[in-house]
Amino acid sequence: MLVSRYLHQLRLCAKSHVPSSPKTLHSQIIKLGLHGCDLLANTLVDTYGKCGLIHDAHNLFEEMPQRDHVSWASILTAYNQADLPAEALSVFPSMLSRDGLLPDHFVYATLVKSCAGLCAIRQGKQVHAQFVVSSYNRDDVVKSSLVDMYAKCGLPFAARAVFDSIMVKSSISWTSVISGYARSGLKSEAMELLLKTPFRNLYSWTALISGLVQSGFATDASHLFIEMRRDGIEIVDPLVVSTIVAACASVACLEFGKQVHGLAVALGYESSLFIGNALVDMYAKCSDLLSARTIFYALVWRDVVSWTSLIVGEAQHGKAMKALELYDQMVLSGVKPNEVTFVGLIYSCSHAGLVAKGRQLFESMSENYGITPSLQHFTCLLDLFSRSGHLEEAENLISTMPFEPDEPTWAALLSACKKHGNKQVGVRIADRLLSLNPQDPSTYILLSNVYASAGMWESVSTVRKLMTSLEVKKEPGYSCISMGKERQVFYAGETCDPDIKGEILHLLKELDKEMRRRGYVPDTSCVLVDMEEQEKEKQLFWHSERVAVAYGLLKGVPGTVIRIVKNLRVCGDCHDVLKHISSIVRRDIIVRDATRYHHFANGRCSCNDFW
Amino acid sequence: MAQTLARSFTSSRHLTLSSLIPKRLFSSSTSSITRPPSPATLLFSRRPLLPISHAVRSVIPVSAPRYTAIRCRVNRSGNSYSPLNSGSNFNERPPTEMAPLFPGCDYEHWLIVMDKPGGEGATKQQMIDCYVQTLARVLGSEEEAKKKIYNVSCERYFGFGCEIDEETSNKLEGLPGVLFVLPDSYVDPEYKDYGGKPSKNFCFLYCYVLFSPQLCVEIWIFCVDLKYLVLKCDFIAFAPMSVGLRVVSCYC
Repeated sequence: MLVSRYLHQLRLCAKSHVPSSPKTLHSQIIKLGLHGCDLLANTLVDTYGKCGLIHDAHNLFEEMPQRDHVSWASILTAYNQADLPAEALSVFPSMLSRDGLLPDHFVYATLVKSCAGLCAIRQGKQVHAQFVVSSYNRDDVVKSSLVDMYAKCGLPFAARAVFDSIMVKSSISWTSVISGYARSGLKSEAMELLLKTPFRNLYSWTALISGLVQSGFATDASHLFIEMRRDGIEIVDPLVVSTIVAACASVACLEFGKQVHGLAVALGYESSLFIGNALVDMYAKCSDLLSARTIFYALVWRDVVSWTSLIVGEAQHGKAMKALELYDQMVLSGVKPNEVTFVGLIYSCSHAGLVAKGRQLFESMSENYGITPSLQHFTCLLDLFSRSGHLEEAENLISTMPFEPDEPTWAALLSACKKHGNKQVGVRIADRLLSLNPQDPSTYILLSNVYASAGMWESVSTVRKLMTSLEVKKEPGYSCISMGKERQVFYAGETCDPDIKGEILHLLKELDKEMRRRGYVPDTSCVLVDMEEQEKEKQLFWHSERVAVAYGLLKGVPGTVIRIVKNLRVCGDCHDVLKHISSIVRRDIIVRDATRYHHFANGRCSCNDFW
Repeated sequence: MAQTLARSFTSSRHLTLSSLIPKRLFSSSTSSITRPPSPATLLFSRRPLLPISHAVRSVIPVSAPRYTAIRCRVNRSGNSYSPLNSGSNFNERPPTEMAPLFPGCDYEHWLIVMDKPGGEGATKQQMIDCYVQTLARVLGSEEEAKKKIYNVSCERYFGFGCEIDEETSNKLEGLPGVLFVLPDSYVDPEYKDYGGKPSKNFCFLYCYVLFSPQLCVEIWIFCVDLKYLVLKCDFIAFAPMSVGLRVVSCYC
C-alpha cells in the first residue's frame, strides 16, 4: 500500500523534473524502512536520473545489494541523459562481473546510445557483436540505435545494412540513415532515401541538409533548403535555419545569408542563441563586420561561441586592437575562452606585430586555461615571429614544437625571411623545405626567388627543373563574385561567356593602360610556365580574380563593394593590380582567398602586403 | 593419432574440460549430439594420463585484455575559415584508452555476419561452404579457413566466428556478402565460451570417456570422417553407461 503510493509519487516527480522532490521522498522512504524494496529502489534511481541528480542516482545504484535489469537500464539511461556516456560504458562491465546479468534489449539500446554519443566505434562494434548472438537480435529499437551510431561514426554503409534488416522502420531510423549518408557526402543516396521515406518531415530534411553542410556541400544544402520550403514543410525547429546560415558562412554568400536572416526574424527565431551565433559568424565571414557587431551586441545571452565568432572575425579583418578589447570584455564577463578563441587572438597579434602580447597569450592559454596548444596555435605564433622579424626565434620554435611542421609552415617562414632580407636563415630554411618534396607550385617560385637573391644559381636551376616536371595544379583556380541573386564563377584560363568576354577584355585593357601610367609593372615571376615575357603578361591578364572584378565593375551597382571569393592564394601581381584598380575606380574590393581577407581601398590593402 | 589428439587438446585455448565436470554432470540441458555414442564405454586407462586441466593451465598462456586506442572522429571541415565549425562537441571525445566492454573481447576472435550466404534458399551445408570460401579469400586456402572457424550459425543469424588477427579482419570488410566484421566476446563468460553450435555436419560416431587417477575426465572423440576433429566439449548429462555430449567448438 505504502509502496504503491511512493511509486506513484516518484513517477510524478520524474515527469515534473523538480530536483528537490525525489530527495524528500527518498528520505521518507528510508525512515519508513522501505529502502530494501527493489521496485522502489529502481524507480528512485530512474527518478533521480530524470531530475538530473546523476550523483544521487549513481550513489544509490552502487549501494543497492540486489540489482536487476531494470536497475541497470535506469542507471545507464540516466548517464546518457546527463551527457556522461563514458561513465555508462565504464560502469557497464560490472553488470556481468558483479551481478552476473547479461544485457537485455533495453540495456543494449542504451549501450549503443552511449557509444554513439562518444563516437566510440570500437565499443559499438563489441556491443553489436554481442547483440547479434543474443536472443534479442531481432529487436527493432536496438537496431535503430545501431543505425544512429554507425551514422554518427561516419559509417553510412554499415548503418544502411542494419537499417535494411529492421522489420518496422520508424521515423527515427529513416532520419538516422539519411543523416549518415549526408554526413559522408553521399548526396544521391541520401536524396534517394528522402524520396522513399514515408516520414518526409522537417526532421528528415534537417538531417539531410545539416549532414551535407557538415560534409562541405554547402551549395547543395542551400538548394535543398529552398526545395524544402517549396515542399511546404513548416519550420517548427530552428536547427535547420542555423545550419543554412553556417552554410552561407562557409561559402561567404552574403545575399543568401541575409535572406535567411530575414526568414529567421519572420519565424521568430532571432533570439535563439544558436541562430545568433551562426549569424555573427556568417556576417564576419562575409566581411560585413558592422552587421556582425550589431547582432553580437543585441544578443541577450552570449556564450563562448558568440565571443569567439566576433573575435575571429575582427582578427581576420586586421582589427587586432578590437579583438583584444573583446577578449578582455569576455574574460570580465566570466566566459572562459577555448582553443579557437586563442587561435583568433594570436592571429590578430601576428598581423599587428604585437610580439610580446602574442607570447603572453600563448603562455596564458596553457597556464591559466589548461588548453594544450595545437598545430594551428604554433603556426600563428610562428607567423607572429616571422612577420616581426624575429627569425631566429621562429626557426627555434619550428624545430622545437611538438608537431611535425608541414609545407605551408616552412613556406610561411621562408617568405618572411625573403621579406626581411635575411639570406643566411633563408637559404637554410629553403634547403629544408626542398628536402620535403613540396607539392605547391607557389613554393617553388618562392624557393627560386630566395636562391636567386642569394646568388645561388645552381640551386635556382634545380628548382626550376623540378617545377617544370611537376604536374599542373590539381585544383584549378577560380573566383566567384556574387551580386544580388546572381553568382558568377570564373575559372583561371577558361574563357567565359562570349558576350561578356569582349567587354571584360576592353575594360581590363583600359585599366591596364591607366595602371602603367601610375607606375605599375607586371610581375611575371608569378607565371609558372616558361614562355615569352609578352605571353606571360597575357597569361596574367586572365587570372580569375581580375576577370571577376571586371565583371563586377560592369554589372554591379555603381559604388557598391565588390566581393570576391577565391579558392587559392592571391598571386603577387594580382594583389598589386587590385590595389591599383581600387584607387582608379574608387571602389572597395574585398577578396577572400585561401589564407585571409584582403580589403582593397584607395590603393592599399588591409593585409599590408603580407599574406 | 592419440598423440595428435593429445597435442591438439593441450594446444587449444578453449579447453576447460575438467572445470566443467563437477558442475555440468547433473545439468539437464539437452544434448546436441546427432548420433549418440554406441556403445558408450567407460574405459579405465592403464597409462597414467596427465589431467588435462593441469596441462591446460601450464601450457596455455592467459591472455590479458587488449587495451586498444580509440580513433577519435573529429569533424574537421578542413577550411581555414571555419575553425568555428569544428564541432560543438569540443568537450566530449572518446577516451583514448578504454577496456573492452565484454570479457573475452581480445580482438583475436571475430564474428562475421553475412548477407544471404550461399544465395536464397541455401541449405546449411551451402551456407557453411560460403563461410569457408569467404574466409579462404583472405587466408589463402580453404584448409586454413576451416582451421580458423570456431563456430557457425545458420538459423538465428547468418555468420561465423573465426580466430584471426585484426589486420586480417579488416580485409574481410567489403568482401561480397559480408555485412559486418565485429569483435567477438564470450557468450558464456563463466565457461569462457565463444558460443555457437557446430553444424550438424560435424558429427560423431562414438566417444570414449576416460578417467584419470586424479578423477578428471578426458574425452577422446573419434570421428568417422577423419577430416573433423573435436577441440572442446563438455558434459551435459551423465548416466551410467552413457554420456551425452555438447560439442561447443571444433575445427576441421
